[in-house]
Amino acid sequence: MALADDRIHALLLPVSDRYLLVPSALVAEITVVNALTPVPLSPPWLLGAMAWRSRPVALCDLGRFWGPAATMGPKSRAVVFYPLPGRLPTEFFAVLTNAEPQSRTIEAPSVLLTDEDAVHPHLAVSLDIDERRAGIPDIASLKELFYDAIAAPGG
Amino acid sequence: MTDLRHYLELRFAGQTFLMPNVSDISVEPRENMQIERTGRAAALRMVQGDSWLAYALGPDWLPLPGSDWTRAVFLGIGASPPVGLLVDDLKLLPAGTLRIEPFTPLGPAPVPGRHLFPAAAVGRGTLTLVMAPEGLAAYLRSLGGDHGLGG
Repeated sequence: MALADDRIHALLLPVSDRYLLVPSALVAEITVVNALTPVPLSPPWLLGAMAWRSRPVALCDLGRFWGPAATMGPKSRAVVFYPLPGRLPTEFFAVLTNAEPQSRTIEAPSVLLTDEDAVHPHLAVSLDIDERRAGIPDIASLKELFYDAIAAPGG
Repeated sequence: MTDLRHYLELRFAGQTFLMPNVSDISVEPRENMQIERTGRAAALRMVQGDSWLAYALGPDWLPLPGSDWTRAVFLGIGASPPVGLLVDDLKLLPAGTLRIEPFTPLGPAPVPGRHLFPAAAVGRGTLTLVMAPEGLAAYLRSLGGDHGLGG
């Protein structure tokens, strides 16, 4: 099945054994991880907090939901995302990637939905892009994962 | 305008944290504490017949039977009873020397309804988490009051 609609500017984020396909407009910056401060009593997918533009940003290993846990290496990057819809303007977060993300202009004929059934946790859909297995993150699912319904200040 | 607030810089288990120096905190030196050996608390202070339990935490924030702690930081003075964190070292830092920014830890809160680290001090490439005193007190109380002395 081909995706309908126009072309979009997107980034392919190498995460675990596949790529995350995200619109470029969601990404504030791609940066290296210089230092990471562990956050005690946090889930294993929260790697820690890093300083980014004079603010603390949580760094996540989303790849462990569909593959092996991430290992930090010289090629690793932190992709800093703008706050999710409905969250506080300070709530940037970052996703660890295996390497530098790749920029793509995605056009409908180049993207095929796979027959991989509703796929993996926190992915809305799986795709094949240039013969690469990719997934589009499920934003609503990520919000549920990230933000404690009672404790989170952003509601 | 000069910022007169202060933060406590607390070191334990090889980690450093900050905490606002609010009015319901009390710091006791080790010599004012009794060593507690039988429960999850590592020390206690007897105050007017009440035992104030204090916990030594490891790097994973689980209670340790003991450590090289030098002071107990009691939270919720005025509550019944206060609860303490044992620290290896403690400093008082003026708030004006720190850049404190809000932080939202991701994932479920360790104590229902309360995140422990609502802010962080950001320096040049460095980051120190700021603990919420109420959240920390709730977490320490969740560790249990079995101090083995029957009190």
